Amino acid sequence: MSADPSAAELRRRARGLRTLATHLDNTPVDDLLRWAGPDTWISARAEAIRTDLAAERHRLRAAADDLREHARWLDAQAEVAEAAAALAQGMPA
Amino acid sequence: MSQDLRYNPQRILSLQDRALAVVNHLDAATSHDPAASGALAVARSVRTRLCEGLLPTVRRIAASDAMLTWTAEGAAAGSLLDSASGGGWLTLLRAGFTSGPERALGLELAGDAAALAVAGEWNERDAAALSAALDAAPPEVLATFFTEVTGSGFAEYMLATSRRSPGDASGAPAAAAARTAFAHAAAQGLLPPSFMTEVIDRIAVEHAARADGDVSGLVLSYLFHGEQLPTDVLVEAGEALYRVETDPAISERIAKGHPEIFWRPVGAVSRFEHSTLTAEFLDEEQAEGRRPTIVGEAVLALDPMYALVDQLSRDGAAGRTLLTDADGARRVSSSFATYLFGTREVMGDGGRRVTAVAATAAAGPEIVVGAPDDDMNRAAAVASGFVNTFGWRHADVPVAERSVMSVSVATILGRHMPSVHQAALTTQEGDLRGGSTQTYSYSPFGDEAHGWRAQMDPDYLGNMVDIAVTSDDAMVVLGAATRQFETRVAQATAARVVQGELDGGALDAILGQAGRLEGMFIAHIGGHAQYVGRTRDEAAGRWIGALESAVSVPRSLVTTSVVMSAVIDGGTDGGFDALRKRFASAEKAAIAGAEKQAEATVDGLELVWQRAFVEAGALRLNSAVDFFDDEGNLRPWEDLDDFERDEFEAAVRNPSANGAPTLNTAAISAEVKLAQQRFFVPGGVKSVG
Repeated sequence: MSADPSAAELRRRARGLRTLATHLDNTPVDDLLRWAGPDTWISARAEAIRTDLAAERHRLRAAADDLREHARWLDAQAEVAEAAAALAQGMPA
Repeated sequence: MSQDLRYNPQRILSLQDRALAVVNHLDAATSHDPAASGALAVARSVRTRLCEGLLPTVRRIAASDAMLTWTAEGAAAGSLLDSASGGGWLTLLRAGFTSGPERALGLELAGDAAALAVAGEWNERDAAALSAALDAAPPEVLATFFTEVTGSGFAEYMLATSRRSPGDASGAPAAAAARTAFAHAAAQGLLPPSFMTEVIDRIAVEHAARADGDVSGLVLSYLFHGEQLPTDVLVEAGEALYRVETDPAISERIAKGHPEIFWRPVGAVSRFEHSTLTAEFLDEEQAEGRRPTIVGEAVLALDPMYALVDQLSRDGAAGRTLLTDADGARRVSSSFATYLFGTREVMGDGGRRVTAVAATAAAGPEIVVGAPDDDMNRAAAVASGFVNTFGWRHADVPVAERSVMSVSVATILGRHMPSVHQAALTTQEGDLRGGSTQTYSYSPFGDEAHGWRAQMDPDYLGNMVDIAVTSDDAMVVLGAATRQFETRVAQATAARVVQGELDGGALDAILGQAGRLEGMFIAHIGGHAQYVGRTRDEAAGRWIGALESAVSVPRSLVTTSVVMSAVIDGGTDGGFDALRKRFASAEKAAIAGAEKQAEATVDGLELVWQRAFVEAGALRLNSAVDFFDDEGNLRPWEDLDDFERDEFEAAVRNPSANGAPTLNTAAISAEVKLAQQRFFVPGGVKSVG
C-alpha cells in the first residue's frame, strides 16, 4: 500500500471507475438483443429497435472502455506520485 | 417481404422483462467521480431510449387482449396479420391509434401491411387478415395504408390477384379485401391525391407492355364493379381512363384507334375465363336471370369503361362534371362526352349503360325545378350532347336493341320536353353536333328567360324519339311528360289571354306549336309500330287516347300554379305521377289512317286547352250543366257522363262572349298533319335523315 495519500486517492478513484466500467459491461444488453431478435418479433419497427439496441450496446462498451482508460491513467498518476514521494524521502520508489 | 409483421407473444413478455432488467441495471450505475460523468450520461441516455422507445411498444403488445388467444407457434410460424389466430396486430389496427407510440405503431403497421400487399408474397390467410384489418381500421390507419401502398402499388397488387392461378384460393379474397378497403377509403376521402389516376395509369402501362392475352382491364372493371365510389373518385377515374385510351403513346400499338380492342386483345377471352376475378361477373348475370356466356361477359368485363359507366349511371353529379365544360355562362359538351357518345364503342350491352349515364346526369332525381342553376345548365348540356352526338351516331340502331335504351332515352326527352318542343318547331336543317345550352324562353311564359334549355338537332332528336317509343314503360314516361308540358303551356297561355297579353294570332301560333309536338310523336310511334309488326294505328291510337289523361286528372293533382321551367319533373312539377298512372292505363281502339289520327289528336289537344281556358276564365261555358266541383274546379273528364261530355263540347264551341280569342282548332289540326308529313311517309317508316 502506498504511503502517499494522494496516490492512494488516485488508486481509489481508479478502482471506482473500473467498478463502474464492469457494471456497464455487465448491462444485459446482449441478452436483450437476443430476446429482441427475429424469434420474438419481426417488423420494420423491431428491426429499427434492434439497430438502436446494438448502437446503445456499443456506446455502453465505449463508455466502459473510457472509464478503464481513465482508471489506468489514474493508476499511472498514482505511481508517479508514489515515485516522487520516495525520491523526496531518499528511498527508491 | 412476407417476413414482416410477425411476433411470438410469450417471447414479447420475456423481451419486456429483459428490457426492464437493463433499465434496473442502469439505474444502479452510480459514481461521484467527475471522470465517470460521461459514462453515466451514456447510461442515462440508453435507459431513456429504452423507456421511451422499446418498452412502450412492447407493453402495448403485451397488454393486448389478443395475447390471450394467440397461439405461441413462434414468430416464424404465423403472419402478423393472421386473423385466424386472433390477430394481436389486428386488434392493434382496429383499436385506433390516437397518440403517442400507439399511434406510431398503428401507422407503422399500416405501412407494413401495404408493403406486404405490394410484395405479392401473401397467402390466403394474409388476404383474409388484410381484409379484416382494413375493414375495421380507423381512418388514419386506412389513410396511411393507401398513402404507403400508393396508387401504382395498389394497381400492382390488384394485377397480382388477377394473375393467380385458378387453383389458388388466395386471389379472389385478396382482391375482394383490397376492393372493399379501397371503396371505404374513397368514401371517407382518405385516398391520397391522384390515387385513382395512378391506378389507371399503372394498369394501362402494364397492359400495353404485356399486350396479347392480358386481362388488366378486368382489374379496373373489378374495382368499379364493387361498392359505389364517391363523385370525386369517379370524375378522376373518367378523366384518367379517357386520357390513357386516347393517348397514342399508351394505346396505339394495340388499339389502333379502338379502345375496346386495347382492353380486349387477342387471347384475352380465354384468359378471362380462367381469371380469379371472373366469377362475380358471371354470377351477376345468373342472378339477373340471364345465362351468361364467356364471350359475352368478357366483352363487358375486360373493358373497364362499362363498369365505370355503370358507376356513373348512379352519380348524376359525376356525370355532369365529366360530360360538360363551361363556355361563358353556357355549358357545352366536354371532349369526354363527345368521346363517349360519339366515338367510343359502348354498345356491347345494347347501350344500356351509356344511356343510363346520360339519363342520370341529364334527368336524375335532383334535376328538378328549383335546383341550383349550374346543375340545371349542365343537365341541359348533357341532354343536348347526348341527343346531338349519340343521336347522330345511332341513326339506325337495330329495333331489337332499342327497347334496352328506351326508358333512359325517354327519361331524358321527357325531363327536357320544353327543349324537345323547341327542336320540333325548328325548321332549320342545320347540323348541331355536340351539346350546348341557351336560356329558355317561350311566349306563353312571357318574354323573360326561365333557366337553361338543351339545344337539340331536330334530325338527331328524331333518332332518339325512335328509340324512346319502343317500349311501353318508355312510352309512359314520355307520354306523361308531354301531357304535363302541354297542360303547363295551355294554362300559361290561358292566363296571358285573360290578362289581354296575347291576341288571336299569337294564340293560333301557340296552338299550332302544340300540334307540331304531337304530330312528331305520332309519326315516330307509328313508324316503330310498323317495325315490330304491330299496327301503327293501334299504337298511335293509344298515344292519342292518352291525351285525355291530361284532362282526367283532377286539377288539384295536375298543378295549382303554372311552373315556368325548361324541365318537366315529378317533384315540384305536381301531378306528373298522376299523369303517368293515367297514361299507363290508357286504352284506345286503333285509329286507322293518318287523317283520322290527326283529327283524334286535335280532339284530345282541344280538351287540354279547353280545360285550361275554362279554368282560367278565358272561356265561359254557356250550359245548364254544372261542370265544376264544390271548390270551383272543373270536374275531371272521366267523371262526366256521355251527356255531360256532349254538353261540354257544345258549350266550349259556343262560349259566352267575353272578348277573349277563341280556340282555333284548325291551327292545331294543320300543324299535326304537317308534322306527320314531315316525319312519316305512309307505307314506309320515316323520312327523317
